[in-house]
Amino acid sequence: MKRLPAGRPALARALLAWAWLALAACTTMAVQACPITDWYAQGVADGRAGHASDRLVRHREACPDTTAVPDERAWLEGRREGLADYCQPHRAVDAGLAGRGYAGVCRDPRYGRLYTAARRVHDSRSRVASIERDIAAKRRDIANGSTSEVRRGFLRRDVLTLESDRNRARSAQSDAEVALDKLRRELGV
Amino acid sequence: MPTRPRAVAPLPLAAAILALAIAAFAAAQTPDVAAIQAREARNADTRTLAALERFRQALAVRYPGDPRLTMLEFGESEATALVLTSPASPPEFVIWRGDRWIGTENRKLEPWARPDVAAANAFPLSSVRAPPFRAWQDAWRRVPGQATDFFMKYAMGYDPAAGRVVVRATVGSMTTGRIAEQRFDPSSGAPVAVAAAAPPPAPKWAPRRSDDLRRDVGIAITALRREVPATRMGAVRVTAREIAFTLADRSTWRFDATHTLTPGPRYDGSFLCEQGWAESDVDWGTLEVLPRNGVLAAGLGDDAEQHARFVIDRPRDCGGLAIEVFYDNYRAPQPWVRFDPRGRLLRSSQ
Repeated sequence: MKRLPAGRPALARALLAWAWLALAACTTMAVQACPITDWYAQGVADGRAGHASDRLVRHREACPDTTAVPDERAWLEGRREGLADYCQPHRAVDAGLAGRGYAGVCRDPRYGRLYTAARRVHDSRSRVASIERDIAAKRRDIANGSTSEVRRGFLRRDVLTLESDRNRARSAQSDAEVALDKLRRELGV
Repeated sequence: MPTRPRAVAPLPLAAAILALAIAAFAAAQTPDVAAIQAREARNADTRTLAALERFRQALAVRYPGDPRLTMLEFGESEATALVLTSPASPPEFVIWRGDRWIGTENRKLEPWARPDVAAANAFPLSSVRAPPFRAWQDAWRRVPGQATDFFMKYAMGYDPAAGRVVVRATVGSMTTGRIAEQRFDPSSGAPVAVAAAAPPPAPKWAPRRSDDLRRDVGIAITALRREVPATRMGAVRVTAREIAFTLADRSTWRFDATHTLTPGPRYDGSFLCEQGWAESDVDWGTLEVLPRNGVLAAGLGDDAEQHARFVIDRPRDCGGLAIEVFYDNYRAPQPWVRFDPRGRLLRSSQ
């Protein structure tokens, strides 16, 4: 068997420990919490966070001990209660504008429509902001005394292109905002 | 006035002759069919006892020196045991399926007595022998009407009601459709009577007479096993009005609301894992709770529960067995929820 050079085992151990910690961070709860978890309350919390039902599978993986397996019915009933809170239409707008994800868990079709419209506003605003950051960075480069004239020429052309992109992105943002307002009025939210 | 005997009309006479012929044919056929069923049942017994022997050997290799058991349970495709590895520690739970050990995650086997009592009355592996099982099977099958019965599983352990180690055999009656538990002595195969025994736990496949066949899967499987004792399952589709079986050999059977099982055309499609699966792989008792769990998981209306139907099968690439619940009150694409064979949620369409 090949031996690792001196010093490597410590590195390997550190990497293993890091991997273990990373994996532990992916689990939904500490294994010690499994036997004392109120699964109904956990379901309510997961519902309020908009988690899909396969969250239960991850809880089960986090609680491998057969004496502490999740009470599925209690969790599902709790999640339904939590979703009743999460799925209020005005929360769809908040979630979309904040750029949060949506797992398609709400029965009310208004939620999905509002979320999609609000998310489009968020994404278009992000696009505008991203282009403006690029333009600002290139302008800083242009203003930098150490930038060569040749490079300045390229950067100015890039800025012109980016400004054109920004105008289109602002137009898309405006369209998205108008569409969201219209939908909110239509749905009374 | 004396009445004159009426002349026998030619048509009723022909009908009578035909009826006699049919009766004679049926009389000639019935014993043959019963004999085939009885022979298939005996073959299933032989396979089950062979499976027990393989499990015994595997246990002997894994735990040398005649280990002591607090509980043993086995059928044709799977065997489980609680093995005492030391007097102080709890017994080790092991599962043997086919020809290998499998994991015990989320599985459970519990002794009938309190753990300390069960440990004090643990029995050696060497006391688990096939001949007494065979003797009990022989005696059982000699009783008229029982030759075709289906032995679903055997469990062996200390029975507090009997005050001794017994075997409890779960028997599906092929003549009544009922499922019952029978006790016998593992050293002789002689029946064990328990006068004051608590009623046995309700079998998971407790037959119920109802128009909703989703509650009658146990009866349907019992009826199927009367006709086809050994062929592995391919797919089972359960609706309120019909239970359809596709077996691994592509034969199909339909169990209807009159509790009649009829053969269907051979399945020629490609959606079948030909390795099949055993019905003991599925916890059929969970079917009752899955419609509600599925409604909650998929966020459906409460009224969807009564429209649930089940499909239990393996994918054509012979992946994991799953129970899928569909809701027929929705238009296609219908919402679905997938559970593992023990009824644990895996994922849903919404």
